Amino acid sequence: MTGSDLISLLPLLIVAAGSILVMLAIAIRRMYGVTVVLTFLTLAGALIADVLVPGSGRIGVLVTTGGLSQFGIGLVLVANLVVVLLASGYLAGYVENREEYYLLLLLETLGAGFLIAAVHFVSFLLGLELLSISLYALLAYVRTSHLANEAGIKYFILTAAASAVLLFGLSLVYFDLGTMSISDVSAALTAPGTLTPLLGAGIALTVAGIAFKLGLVPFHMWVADVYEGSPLPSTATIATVSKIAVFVFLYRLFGDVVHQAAPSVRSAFVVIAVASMLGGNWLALLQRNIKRILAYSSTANFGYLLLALVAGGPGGLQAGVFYLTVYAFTILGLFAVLTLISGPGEEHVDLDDVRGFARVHPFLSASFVIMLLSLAGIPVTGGFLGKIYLFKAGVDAALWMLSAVFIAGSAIALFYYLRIVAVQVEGPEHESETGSLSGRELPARRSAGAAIAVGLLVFVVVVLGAYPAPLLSLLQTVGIG
Amino acid sequence: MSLFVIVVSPFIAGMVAWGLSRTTSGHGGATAGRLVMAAGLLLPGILALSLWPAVSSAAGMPIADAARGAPSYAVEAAIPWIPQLGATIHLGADGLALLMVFLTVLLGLAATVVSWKDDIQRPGFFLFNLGLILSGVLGVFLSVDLFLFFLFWELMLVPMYFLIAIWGSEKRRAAALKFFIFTQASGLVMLLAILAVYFVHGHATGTYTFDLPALINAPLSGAGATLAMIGFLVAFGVKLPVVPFHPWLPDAHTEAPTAGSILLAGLLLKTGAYGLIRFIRPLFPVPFSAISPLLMTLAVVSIIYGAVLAYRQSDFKRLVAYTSISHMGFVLLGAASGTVIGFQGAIIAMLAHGFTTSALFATAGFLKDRLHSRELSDMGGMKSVTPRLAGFGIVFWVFALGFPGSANFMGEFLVLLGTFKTSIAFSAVAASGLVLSVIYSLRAVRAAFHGPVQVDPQTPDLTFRETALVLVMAALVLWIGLFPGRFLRLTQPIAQTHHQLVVQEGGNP
Repeated sequence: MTGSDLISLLPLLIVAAGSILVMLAIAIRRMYGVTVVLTFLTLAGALIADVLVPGSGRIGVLVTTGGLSQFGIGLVLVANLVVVLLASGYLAGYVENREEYYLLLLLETLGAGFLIAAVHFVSFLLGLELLSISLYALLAYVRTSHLANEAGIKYFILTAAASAVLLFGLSLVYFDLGTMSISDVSAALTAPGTLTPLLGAGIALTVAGIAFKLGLVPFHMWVADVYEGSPLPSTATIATVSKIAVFVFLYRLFGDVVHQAAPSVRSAFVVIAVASMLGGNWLALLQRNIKRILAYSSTANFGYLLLALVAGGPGGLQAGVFYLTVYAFTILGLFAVLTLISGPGEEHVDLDDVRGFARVHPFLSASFVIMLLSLAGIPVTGGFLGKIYLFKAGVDAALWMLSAVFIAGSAIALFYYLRIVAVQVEGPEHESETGSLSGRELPARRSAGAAIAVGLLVFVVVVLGAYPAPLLSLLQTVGIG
Repeated sequence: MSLFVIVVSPFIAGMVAWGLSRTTSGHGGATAGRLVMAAGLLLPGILALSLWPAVSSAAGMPIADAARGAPSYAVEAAIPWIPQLGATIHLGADGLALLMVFLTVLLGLAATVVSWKDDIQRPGFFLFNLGLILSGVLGVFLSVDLFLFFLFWELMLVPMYFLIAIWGSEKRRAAALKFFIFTQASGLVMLLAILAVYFVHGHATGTYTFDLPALINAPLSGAGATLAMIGFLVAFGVKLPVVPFHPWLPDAHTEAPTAGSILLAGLLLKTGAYGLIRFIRPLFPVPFSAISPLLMTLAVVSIIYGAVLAYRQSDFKRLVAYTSISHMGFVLLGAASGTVIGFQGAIIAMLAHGFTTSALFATAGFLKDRLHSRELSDMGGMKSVTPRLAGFGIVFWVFALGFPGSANFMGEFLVLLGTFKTSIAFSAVAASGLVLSVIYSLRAVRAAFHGPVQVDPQTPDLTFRETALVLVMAALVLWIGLFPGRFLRLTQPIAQTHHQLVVQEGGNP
């Protein structure tokens, strides 16, 4: 490892150093403001380093820099910067210790970043476990809430089981192929006749473990409860950071091979994608809690992203990364608005809670609506172009059935996104009763940071929909697509 | 450049109007917002007028590239947009597009005027939605790039949904949802068709582009072409609307506020007809000729069905809504007839229906404001109480039944003439629709305006603004009806091109 290797790992090193610094600062004296600022500066510094430092390819056998790593780490850093802004206002009134939340966020970022850069089973597991363990605590951070405890424990037990399955799968793959390097495994998967029963079982278990982390059908049973129970900033981070990181890894492992791998591997992905698109959307239709709706919609959205994976090739990768980027910004915007009207233990995330939202907080409501329209894929939003790109990738790869299901799923999704939009502009259910919002004013914390974040996210989502050329050429310059 | 200004002007005016009405207290802000909106509509109107000489002189010239039916735009403008996707911001105007721009500007002004009321809630947001819809409609009429076209096509849905869902009458939520689902689902089907055309062209030629002239020059063939065409037809058929894609229309038109009904009937329906004319015929010449008899059958069914159901309505607005289905059937009939005259008749009928139906919806709005009812049984004897209102109401009903001298007569007559050349049977059945329209129109006139006085004798007559609005509309309908030559000349090139396509593909003359 040379000096330039260290420099190209600078973003991750900054996050690691920052987490030690924050831990020491907390040990010396608990100062909420200082902790928030330190965390923010760490993430911002890492982001600057990520943008400025060019990648130098593979470093050792464990990680790679540049390209997908650089972009993915940047995305994760941006997402957690937003989460820090959200958490700073959300936790401001929390009675118990608040500082460790930010330490956990930094560790989560480090795990996600390592996972994104991983090209080896060892670094993959290291990153994944760091990410998951930080998430357990983040999800259950508001100890006073039963729901948060339930979410944390549920996620902990199920994820631990999924990690065991994943580990077993990876060890079977290693046993059969004698390598833990992802590129070797990928190469072996495309070679004809190598898919022995043992390797097949290993791959199946690995896919199951990863599908669990992404909440794909049939491993989706945890998402709604975990989304619903966890504090909003934690929901935002699990919905974006952890899923981005795991999806990037999934892409590294299978992105180059699915479209030419054995039919059984390919059809496994197709089945999971179809089940997630239809199942996720169907379950989301049945919910009345916005967090639960978004949980199942994330299942559907990662089903859509599998379309890009199965399509493969540079076009599929570019479409997937574009969609993932837009999706992350959109979801962050939605959770940012919800965070602004919520606090620990009193979250306003039911459909009835936002009835008449547009009258009380027109700007927040407008932002919320724009984000929902982006998820629904209505122009002029990034979500619309993202869907076009995914569809283009699907058609280019002649995946007619998957593309058709994708369109059908998007059409079903309109119903529940529109329901959240409609309820905001409607008056009270009956003329006599006052709506929940007009009755008891929503708090709408004056958290300047989160408000600015909402504004920026809306701006980005609209610009990505109206003029995506800059992001597309950025993706091309870092070697994606 | 002026084309870009035409498209974005209403949107910007809507933004400014929203801002003004939020920052200024009382009714002053709303009034200022309405004036800004009017200015934002007059500007495109003036710019479109300034383009008239260029478009009109181009209309006299021989058609370039008529062999393939590629459209020749007198005025064009393009700037790069998403090069990776092959999409450009490419706008173009020919005679047809220009006429539609005028229709949009005038009906946009009408919608602003009819909503000029003090009791309207959140006037700023209302104007914002209005501006967004109008920009979307103008974009649809001027887009040359299919991707851009689709973007504008979708852009008008959400604000229209809000317009119905927030400012509509009692059953607004269900009506708004129905409207959104129908149009959005059909829009997705059209998106599939657009992408199919795009990919087939890209695979065949190596250049991926959404530009209409390029796509027309390399048409699809075989079953794929038919499927893609059906995708377009579904979307345009829902908007038009043609039976059996019409169920959203009566609810949406009836529950929408008056301005919303005007935009729906006057403009959104026209985007369906416009798409049919602008995109389907040149993109799919062979399958379109093959499917023309089916389309003409559906058109005739719509004419009769809409007229019969209109007769059965007791609700003034719902009645007008059903007549829209009938009148738009004539537009479809003319567009599918494959003759120059039928085609031009369809365009005149679009303009006529746009003005007449909007005026009738405005009348329904005036009645609702005064009587707080839309039921015909609550009206009666209006002509002695509010002579101006009743007088204009009768005039527009008479226009709607196709009275000679009105644009409606001219349009429907030309459509029947053109259809007669293709098929006497269709023409004969469609002509019976004219008789039915007399029956429902006169029934509405009798029930609402004649008979014993059933309303409060103190009911106020039309105000100055309202009178000016209906007067202008009536004048326009008469102008087009009495002097159609200018309009026919403007639409001559596109009609000729289409006719040549029909002849080339061996369809009916």
